[in-house]
Amino acid sequence: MSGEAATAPDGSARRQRFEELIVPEVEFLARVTRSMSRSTAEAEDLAQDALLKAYRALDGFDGRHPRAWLYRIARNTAINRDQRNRELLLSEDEEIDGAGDVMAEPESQVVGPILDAELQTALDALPPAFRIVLQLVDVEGMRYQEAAELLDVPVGTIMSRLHRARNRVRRALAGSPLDRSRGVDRSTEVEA
Amino acid sequence: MNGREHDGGVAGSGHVEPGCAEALAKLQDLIDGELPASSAPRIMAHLEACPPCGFEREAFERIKAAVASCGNYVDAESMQRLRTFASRVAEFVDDDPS
Ligand SMILES: [Zn+2]
Repeated sequence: MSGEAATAPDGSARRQRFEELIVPEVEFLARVTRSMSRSTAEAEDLAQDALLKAYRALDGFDGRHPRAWLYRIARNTAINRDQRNRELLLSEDEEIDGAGDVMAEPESQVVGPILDAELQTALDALPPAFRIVLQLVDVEGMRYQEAAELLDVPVGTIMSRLHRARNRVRRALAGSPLDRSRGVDRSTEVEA
Repeated sequence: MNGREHDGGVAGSGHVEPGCAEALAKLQDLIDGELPASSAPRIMAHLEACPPCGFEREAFERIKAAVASCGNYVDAESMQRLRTFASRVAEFVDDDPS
């Protein structure tokens, strides 16, 4: 059965808006969905879902700030698709507090070059709520205020998540076998 | 909070100076370019005068730079599939009686 006759005029206008507003943001979408996921495959699936939802919702979108609009769709999609995401993306800071927010011990400070594979592992181990803030501020270059608005949290929450995320990354990198295999002399590091 | 971070990060090496707690508390804001102009010079001066705090700054700047580089990476094949999907998304939706 063909719905072409009924949907064509509407559909082609929508397709054009999608090309203009959403397609330029596909790379951004790929990056941020990766930060919401624990693997490339999961991220790709999430991004496709978000694109479908964006296309369906496009007629109701005023066209302002497509990047933020698309981000919210992706985030809501991630939250709705499984309970684990809901817990991790929406949790309050107290809930994602854990051991591990204390400052790195001096003997576990990062001094060597940081390897991407090692860093990706450290990032994947972060709670998504932390990882996303790193993505928005460090990768997408957002101001604290912009990230706060996008995530609907106070600026202070952005700051505390950033700080704790970086401390966790630092400790993960310093404690990894790769770090030791680089032959870092940690006894001199303490003195530095 | 600041005191605890200070204790863990710097006091462990036996170093305690006035101004360390403030410098460490403001360090993240500084490297993110979010430090108000009113306190930036004082913090900068401390970081330059105090090696342990300067070391902290270096460590976090390195982490920020590495995260920026790593987070920018998207698997090329995955990206290509996503572009193809985006170009064909209408096909998936038009068939959907919504
Ligand atoms: Zn100091």
